[in-house]
Amino acid sequence: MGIPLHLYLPIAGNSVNMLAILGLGGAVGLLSGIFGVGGGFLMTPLLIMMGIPATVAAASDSNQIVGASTSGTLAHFRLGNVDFQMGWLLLIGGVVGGTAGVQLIKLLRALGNADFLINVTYVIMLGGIGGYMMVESIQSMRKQKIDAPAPEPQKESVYARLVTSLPWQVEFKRSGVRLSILMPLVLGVLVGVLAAIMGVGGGFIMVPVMVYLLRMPMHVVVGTSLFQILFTCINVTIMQAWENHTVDFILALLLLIGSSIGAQLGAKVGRKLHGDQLKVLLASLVLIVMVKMLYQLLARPDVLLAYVGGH
Amino acid sequence: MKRLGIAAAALLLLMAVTPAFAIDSIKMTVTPSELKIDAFYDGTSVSVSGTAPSDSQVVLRFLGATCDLHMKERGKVLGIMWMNLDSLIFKSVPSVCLVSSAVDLESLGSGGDGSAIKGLGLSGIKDSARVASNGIDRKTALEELLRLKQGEGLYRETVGNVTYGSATGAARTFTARIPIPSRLTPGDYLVEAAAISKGQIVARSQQPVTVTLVGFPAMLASLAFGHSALYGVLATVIAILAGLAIGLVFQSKGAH
Repeated sequence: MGIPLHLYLPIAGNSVNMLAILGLGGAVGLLSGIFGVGGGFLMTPLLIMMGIPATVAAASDSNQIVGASTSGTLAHFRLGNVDFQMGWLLLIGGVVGGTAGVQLIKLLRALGNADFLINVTYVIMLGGIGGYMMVESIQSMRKQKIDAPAPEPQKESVYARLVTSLPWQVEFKRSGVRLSILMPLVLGVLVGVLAAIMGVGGGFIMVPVMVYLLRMPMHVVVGTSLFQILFTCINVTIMQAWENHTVDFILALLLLIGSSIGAQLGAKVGRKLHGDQLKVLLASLVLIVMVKMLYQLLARPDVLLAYVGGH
Repeated sequence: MKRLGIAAAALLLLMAVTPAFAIDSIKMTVTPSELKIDAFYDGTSVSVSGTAPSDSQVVLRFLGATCDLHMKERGKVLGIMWMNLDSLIFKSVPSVCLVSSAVDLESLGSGGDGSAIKGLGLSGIKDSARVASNGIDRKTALEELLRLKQGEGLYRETVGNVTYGSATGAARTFTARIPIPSRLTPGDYLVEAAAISKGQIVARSQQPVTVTLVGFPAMLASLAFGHSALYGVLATVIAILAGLAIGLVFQSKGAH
């Protein structure tokens, strides 16, 4: 045998095929670069299928997202797609929300049946977000085909009136919107709470929030989301390594090499796609994950046991 | 339980009657006695050779340390959705159990004390392990555990990987190659041999095998467990630098 294809992962306690991990990293990185999501919701289950313990898979994936989102943020920054002003505000909100969410989940667990609540929330959130994005972007694509320039008559919705009436209005130049700084802060908190409860980075909740509630252009959303994910995952990686010893650096590095390259390509692919096309694709992805979650809930598992700390 | 009690009593009786014979008549060497896990470890094998009474069959077991396994039971909520429900604990189950023999254990047990022989196999774990659970019954829980561990390659019964040489007097030689899975953690393991004749265990022997991490995995594991905060920070910093480096490589290729 020439070059050894397998590497032993000391924290995961198993060996893996290097090419398989590099390929997996590349595929998820591509999605991450296109849509501005971390991809944890895809990567973690695939790693578990490859024989990596669930806790190690999730923690090492966070470590790899640190690298991939650095690379992705850099790529989007060069394309002028990162709104740092908005990103910082969302991040501050996210950290506060995440901390609150962790406490909330402890409370829920003490009350019992928390897993049930989490799973159902997950499916409803994914179904709702995915469905709404899908319908909205398909409608918008149709409209453009029929009468391209006709500006739709703007009717002031309650939401729009609320947004304009909030204090501390600030111009977000990169996103081209004028909003109260309370908006990203409060929405950041909400996403942070949800992400902590679901145990995910929150990229695929944050993206629709930025698109529909902050009214940011899709391309800026992707870059800004990656910037925000970078910091969330730095926090998760250090905490997991410190408290639970579940970060396998070799695994993370292999995934990272694959996913950083994927993320670079993804940023370029995303650039070529129209905002609405991006939304339709992301909506499809979210709906696929929703169906997968629903299937897992309804189908009888192979083994009626689960390791503690897994999903 | 009754059968188990009889089996234990029979074993005690056997050991009391023929102590010297029972211990001395099976000899074996295990190579290597220390398994080293380096960066490129992807499973290995252990060779066992020795002598056993010529009219006996040898059953070999590669065993990991026993431990308590904390798990969650999966069950239905509202009659349709599968969820992780009650916690349960498997008490003193081996982390690894690889059973090797020339013929299957069922046939070895015939004509004698079948349950003692069966106890050498995976079903032995099912009979002896204790389960602390509020919901799922003990039998189902252990069957599920066996399925899980077999799926992971950590519990296995292999028939046909023990071969015998020619007999010289009362003893004959045996050799075996036990495949060791890639999913292996460092620690103390044991190769246990039992000689079975006419449905009875007539001799037992055991040899320790240690599994250690060497090279890069050893370094990384000691950093991760010994200096976990530093490890976390380093993992993050290296990831950021690698992400930046890959980003710069793409820029220098002239994407614009």
